[in-house]
Amino acid sequence: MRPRSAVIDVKFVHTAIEVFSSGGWKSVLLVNLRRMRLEKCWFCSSTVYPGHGIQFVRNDAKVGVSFLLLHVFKVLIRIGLSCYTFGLILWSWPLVCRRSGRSRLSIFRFCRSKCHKNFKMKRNPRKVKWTKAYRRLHGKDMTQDSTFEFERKRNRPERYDRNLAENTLKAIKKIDKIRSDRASDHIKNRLKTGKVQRQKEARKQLEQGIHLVKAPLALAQDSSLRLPKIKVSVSQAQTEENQPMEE
Amino acid sequence: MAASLASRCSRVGRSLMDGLRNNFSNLPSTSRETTFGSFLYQVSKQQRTFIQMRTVLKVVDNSGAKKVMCIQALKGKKGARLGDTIIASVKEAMPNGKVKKGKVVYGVVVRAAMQRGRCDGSEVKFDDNAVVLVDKQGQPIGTRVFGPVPHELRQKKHVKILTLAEHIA
Repeated sequence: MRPRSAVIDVKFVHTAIEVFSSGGWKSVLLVNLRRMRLEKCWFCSSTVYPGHGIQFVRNDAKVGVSFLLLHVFKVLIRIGLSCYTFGLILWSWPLVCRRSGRSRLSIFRFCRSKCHKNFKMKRNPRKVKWTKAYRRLHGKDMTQDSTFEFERKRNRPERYDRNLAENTLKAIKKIDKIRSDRASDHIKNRLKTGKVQRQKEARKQLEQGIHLVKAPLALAQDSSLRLPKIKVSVSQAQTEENQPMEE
Repeated sequence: MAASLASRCSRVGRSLMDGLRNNFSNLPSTSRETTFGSFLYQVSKQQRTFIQMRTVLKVVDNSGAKKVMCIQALKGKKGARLGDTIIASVKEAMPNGKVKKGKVVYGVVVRAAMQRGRCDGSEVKFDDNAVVLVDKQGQPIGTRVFGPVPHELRQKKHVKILTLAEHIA
């Protein structure tokens, strides 16, 4: 075991929650000691644990600000825009500058090759049913909850405080329980509405299709479906004669 | 309105004028869908492999060279990977830069499209092959480094490049 680090991440709180829910206390300490971050998969939003997955770094910005400016002016002159529009563009220039930036990069992290391959296939995670993005978008999962606040990304490291760490570890259990309870409640509520809907549909179908189904009793009562009664006169003597023959 | 017009104009201008690739991402792309759209041409189906003889790399410093061609990888039998040093010949250069076309230079591969394992077992890859020109002692020729570079360069004793870099990935 390596010595415990002097500085503890505030992110440790969320990290610890994540890890605890899957691996128990030992893994919490382990992750803390290594000071690793648990990132989220870009595609499926699951946790990317240290040593897993692949990350793709894309360099987005290439054009400097002066370069952009030059082209805007060139195009403007060519089009021959009025002074008014020109002024407007000058006014909005800081906006464009901020957008272009000096250097931007985007890092895509993937938890496994499945997510990486889906990314390479240019699939949109919002349209792929098994991703968190899809489930959140379609109201399958809990989206707004105060327990999610603990999982926010914080870049400021916190000084190590023994009491804080202790309380954090205590809080994790509680928070984890609250969140799982709320999530299950959410699912229960979601299914409840489905039940009402199903009952409503069934009732409607019953009303519309009742003429297709008739109970035997109802058939018996319907005179149009019964054969007309014919009275047949049977003599009593004949039946009595037949009985000994059957034996 | 004006902002969108300006950005549209700049797009037209850039696509006409410069030979730089992947600058579409400069456009205001906020949602994930648009990120996807701009991504279409950046990752091809090509199998990415080592940087070997005749690989053309982009130079991401202000040494004056724009493109170099690898003529020798100093380490590894198959070729160079992320963080390795190569010998290259300058194929394209700015008119008045430190490095002239046709010179043989040393360079450190700071971005490689082929993935490379990290110390923790995960992997990292970039969207292009890029190099920073250095002298034989490993000191960078230029004074600036553009774009992201990996932190593995620290292990390779290229701390100078890391300090000059805009982003460390």
